[in-house]
Amino acid sequence: MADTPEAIKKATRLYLIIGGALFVGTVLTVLVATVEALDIGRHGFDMADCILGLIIATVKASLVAVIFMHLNHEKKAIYWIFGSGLVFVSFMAALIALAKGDPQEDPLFYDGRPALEEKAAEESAPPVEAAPAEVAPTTAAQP
Amino acid sequence: MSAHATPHTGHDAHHDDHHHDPGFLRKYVFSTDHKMIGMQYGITAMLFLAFGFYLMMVMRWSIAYPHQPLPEWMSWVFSDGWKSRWLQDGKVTGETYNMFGAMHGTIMVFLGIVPLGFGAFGNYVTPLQIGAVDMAFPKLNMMSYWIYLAGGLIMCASFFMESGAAKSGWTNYSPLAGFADGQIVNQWLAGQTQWLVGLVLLITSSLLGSVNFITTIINLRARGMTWMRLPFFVWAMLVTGFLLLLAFPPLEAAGIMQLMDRVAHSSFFMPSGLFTKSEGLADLSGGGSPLLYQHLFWFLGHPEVYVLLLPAIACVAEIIPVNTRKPLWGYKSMVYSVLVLGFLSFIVWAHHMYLTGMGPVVSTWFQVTTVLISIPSVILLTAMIISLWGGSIRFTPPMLWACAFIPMFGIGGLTGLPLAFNLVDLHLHDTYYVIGHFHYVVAPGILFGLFAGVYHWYPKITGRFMSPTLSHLHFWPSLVCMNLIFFPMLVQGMAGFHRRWYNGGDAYLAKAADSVNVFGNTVRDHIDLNIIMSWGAWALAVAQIPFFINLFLSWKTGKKITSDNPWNATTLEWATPTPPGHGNFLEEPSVYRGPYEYSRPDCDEDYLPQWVAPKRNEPAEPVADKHDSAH
Amino acid sequence: MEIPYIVTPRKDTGLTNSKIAIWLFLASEVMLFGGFFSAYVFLRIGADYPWPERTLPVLPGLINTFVLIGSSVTVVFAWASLKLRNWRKFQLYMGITVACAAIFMVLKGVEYSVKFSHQAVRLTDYTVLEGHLGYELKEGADSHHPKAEDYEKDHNGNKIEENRIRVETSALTFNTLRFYKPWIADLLDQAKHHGDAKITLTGDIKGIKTEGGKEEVLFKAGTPLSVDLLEEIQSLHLAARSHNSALRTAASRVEWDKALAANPDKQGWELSSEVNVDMEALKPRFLTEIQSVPFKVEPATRFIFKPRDIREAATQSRLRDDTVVDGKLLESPMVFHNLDAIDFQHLVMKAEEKGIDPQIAIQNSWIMKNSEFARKAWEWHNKKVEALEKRLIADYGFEADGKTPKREPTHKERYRLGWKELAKMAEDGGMAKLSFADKMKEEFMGPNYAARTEKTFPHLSVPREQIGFASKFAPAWNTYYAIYFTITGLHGLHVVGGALVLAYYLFFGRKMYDANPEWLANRVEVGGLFWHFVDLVWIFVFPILYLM
Repeated sequence: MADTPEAIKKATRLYLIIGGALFVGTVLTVLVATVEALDIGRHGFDMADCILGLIIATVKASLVAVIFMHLNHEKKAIYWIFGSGLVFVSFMAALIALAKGDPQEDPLFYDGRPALEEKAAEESAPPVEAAPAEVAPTTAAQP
Repeated sequence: MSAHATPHTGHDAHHDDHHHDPGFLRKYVFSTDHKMIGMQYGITAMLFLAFGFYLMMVMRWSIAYPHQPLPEWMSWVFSDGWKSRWLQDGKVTGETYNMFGAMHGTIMVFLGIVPLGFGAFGNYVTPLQIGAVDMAFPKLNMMSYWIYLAGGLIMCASFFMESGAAKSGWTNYSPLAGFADGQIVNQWLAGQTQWLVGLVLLITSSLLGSVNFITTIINLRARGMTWMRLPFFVWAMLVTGFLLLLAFPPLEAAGIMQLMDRVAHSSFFMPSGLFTKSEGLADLSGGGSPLLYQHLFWFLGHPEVYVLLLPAIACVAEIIPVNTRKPLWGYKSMVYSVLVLGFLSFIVWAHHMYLTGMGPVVSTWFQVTTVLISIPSVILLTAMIISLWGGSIRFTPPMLWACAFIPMFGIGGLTGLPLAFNLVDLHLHDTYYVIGHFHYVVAPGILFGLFAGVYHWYPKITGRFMSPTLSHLHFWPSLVCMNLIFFPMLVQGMAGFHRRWYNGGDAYLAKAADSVNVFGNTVRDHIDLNIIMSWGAWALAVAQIPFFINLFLSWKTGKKITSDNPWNATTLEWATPTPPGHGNFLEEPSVYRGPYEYSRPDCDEDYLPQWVAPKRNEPAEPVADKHDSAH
Repeated sequence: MEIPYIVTPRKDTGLTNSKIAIWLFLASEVMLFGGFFSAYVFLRIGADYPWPERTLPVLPGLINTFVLIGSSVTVVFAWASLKLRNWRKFQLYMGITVACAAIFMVLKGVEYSVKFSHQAVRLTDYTVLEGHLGYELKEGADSHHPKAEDYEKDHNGNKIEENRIRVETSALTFNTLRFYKPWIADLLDQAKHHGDAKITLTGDIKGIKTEGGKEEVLFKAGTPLSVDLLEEIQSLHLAARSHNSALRTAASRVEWDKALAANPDKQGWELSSEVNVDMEALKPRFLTEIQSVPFKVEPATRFIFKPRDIREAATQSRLRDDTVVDGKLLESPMVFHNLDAIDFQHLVMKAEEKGIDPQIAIQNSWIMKNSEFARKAWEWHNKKVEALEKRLIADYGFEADGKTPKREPTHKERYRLGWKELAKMAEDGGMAKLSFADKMKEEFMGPNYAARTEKTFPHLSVPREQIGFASKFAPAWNTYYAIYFTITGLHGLHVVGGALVLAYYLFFGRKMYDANPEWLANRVEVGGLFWHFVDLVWIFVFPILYLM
């Protein structure tokens, strides 16, 4: 923990550098998302872009956590405490994603996707809450 | 300090204090003293428990005697106006039953047991047992209580609104919970909305409380109080604190999102194409997912049940050694078990969701973790049973309750095991079996443990014992009635009785009277059990009267204690004057040994308290685990 | 009695109480925002509509990111200044931090207000139109250059958006228990506004007020509508309801007792069909319950209602408080003063699900059939898409099979005409370009309708029956905006909370600094940790919600 004036002055320089790095990282994030030349994967947003964006964000967040929040010289108890939050949030996100991605397709209960024609047939007669039976004629759209 | 010290009054504790006496408000209402806050939590929680109990009594009438008007002896508390709105010719309607059911669950869980176990017992006993002068953040502690009270009152005030209180189950699933009371134009005046507002306040209160508890336990332990010298009670409170801290926020997220669905007409949990009879196609964007709500709810929901359990086990684990004059068996195993239990409780939640269409992989995960989590629970219970073996058992009132906790919680836990398997849960989900299971755990289980705690620490709080006669009058009928009410539920559940039926199942008879379940039972076979169960519930209410009388009468007329340590216990809370004053201890305590030093062969007495300094020619007690002293 | 380890750390843990507490709190905040981000992923994966990618203007979010990062640096400098016992420097850096928080919230406020005033509508054929609605103008006003006094005002003095349901009302029937008081006041005001129409009781309300009493006129026909009147009727009704309910309950008890006595071997649940209360015998004792109160409106007046408040139908509409509005439904279009986007993505998604060619589906959409502007814009747009396709093939080539291009225009590029495109189209057609400064302003405030005029962003009147779902760009519009507003709103609340705490130390910390500077340094450190966490969350929020 930076306690002496010299240590604090040294740390101050480090904070400035990290601050600069964060600015650069932010610009990089925007460039990666907007400039076509930097668009990895297919054209437009896809999984590769998502992962890249999250990696950059994680690096930036780690810089903030480790240096600005001086986790680099914190006590073990704090690692346990904050770490437990990170561990359980990962479990929560991962298991929710797993539950979403692993649906029940037991043939006893689920026959698979209905044929396209059946679906079109049932969609052509929707019980939509249409407004009135008789209504004033629609106004002509503006030219 | 000798173990048989003459009782000190609270006044002596002030001789080191230079504070002038705070006024009545500061001392009894807006107190920052953990003991007063503990008592505030305790009294408030018990009042909420009584209210939740009454709701259940009305529900049980509807179940046992469907279509019959509520009898005078139950309906007198309601005003005529209220009855004309909520009872149809005196009968409990489905809507009213749902409202009572949802609020019964909410009140008992969030406003009753957690504040009683964690807020009341945790607040009062934890700082004392670790040798601290108070909680780490006394003002925060006070705020926790008042925010809890505000949240609870807001939830209950909704009973008097035109919409009534929340009525979509204590689980409050969307889309129903997003829609119910939707006809109220100003959504802020709808009971369902107020339930969410109350919930956000309760979660805030819990979060502040858990931060306080964990910080106190980590940083305010007395000199010599290493981790492995902590009473099991404190370990249980530590784990409970972490469960509340980390599991509640996702429910807060879900609550905020459901609130947005109601007042901002968002569609977080509303699927596309939602159609209701009263409104037709919903005027919403759709695209949301009801399943998302369930995940976020049960992410809290499962750790919540361990939040309910651990304070009760904590009380029982303290009471057993005191009354068997033997150390707690398997202390280390119990500590590791409770830590593993806390960890595992975060990754089992979807066993409440087996019927939502989850695939084999995720279902297997949750079945495995759910079965695994039974292991630490069994270790805890087994350790407590073995602790009785060979003990010199004194059946004091707290010991009666503690001993009843063990088999009752055991039944509750064992009946949960079949539910861990989705194959079995397919048949038992949403039946009375589940209700029977969790009520066994909470009612004759957890509540008995907490009653034990009341009887055990009452002498420290008031300086008098509770009347043993009234204790027996409270205990025996309660034990009998609890089993009368909840055991038949297990049977009914297996026969296919669905939960949340307001008519006790008789409507089912009209449609499918002879349909048998996998065991060959029909609803008709077991519908008459409803009557016995309901009378058991009403008798249970009567059985609580001796308890309330005891609580208040003994304060004035109970047998006075003759020492600050009337049970001859070993843990630090008994080293204080009675009642403990501001600052708790007369001098800063030091801890020299573990928490359960009973019947040591090298001791004249059958107990050696933690705080008694070793005699001159005795070596100091070795620190149980070298690593603990580091932090 | 003092709580230990507030300022000096405990020896074995090496920590002060507040250090432990703040990290515990931050762990819970990780769970809170983690819950919201999990919800975001869940909603995005499960969305049954085209998820809006890169739909928000990036510049405000980007500037806010810089502002927050900067404030993170200055807050740690503030703490360092305290440790070095330099009060002036502490004030400077903490002041900048709090100022940054204020800038952040101002920018956020601008972002939110721009969205809340921007309208979106999904037509029944799943075309999405976006733009700004017009306001009702008085008769004869110049709709192209209206002056302030030309606008119609409602009874609160606010302009009336051109998105209202109009009913030529001849009668109103209120539900005694559920009528909503503010709406009664609004109806009375509207009646006064529109030629002083009178709302009066249609007929006498007759009833029995006391048990055994005669039927009498409780309220005379012609009584004018007022909240007091309705409340009086309500209390009479409630009293009657209580009375009658008590009578029926007592009778029911008697019948049950008789049935149970007559069938000693049967349980209650078996007897319910045999228990009948003789209602006819009781009727003379009942008081009159007045369920609804009918009023007539003379002369029939045009009332306007917000679409969300009413379920409209040709001759009889119903408000959400169960008020029945009798009268002819008039034309109630939604009028865009400036249409600034046409989005066919959802329509295309639905068409592809049914196996219909998207281009054909688009040609058959209402807007293409009814708007010359839309047809022209779509033609122009298609040329651009073709050019893009060609360029992508030229730049990136084909896959191994020689037929599938390596890169193709996205769905959004193919099927959405955003405001920037419409602006470009107008500029291509000879419209003067905006100055750089104005263009920058557009990045924050949205398209500049005044400068670009309705040649770029035309008027459009959408008939009510074409409208499937409509909303401002608010949480109601779709799950993306719902999660966007919730996450950024909650984050914003955390910014405000953190700034308040830091500002407290800035303005009121001097006394503590003089008494115990290390204590203040500890508190500022703890506040700073919270501030960094707020920045940390934003580091994820910005790319996820703004760029992905």
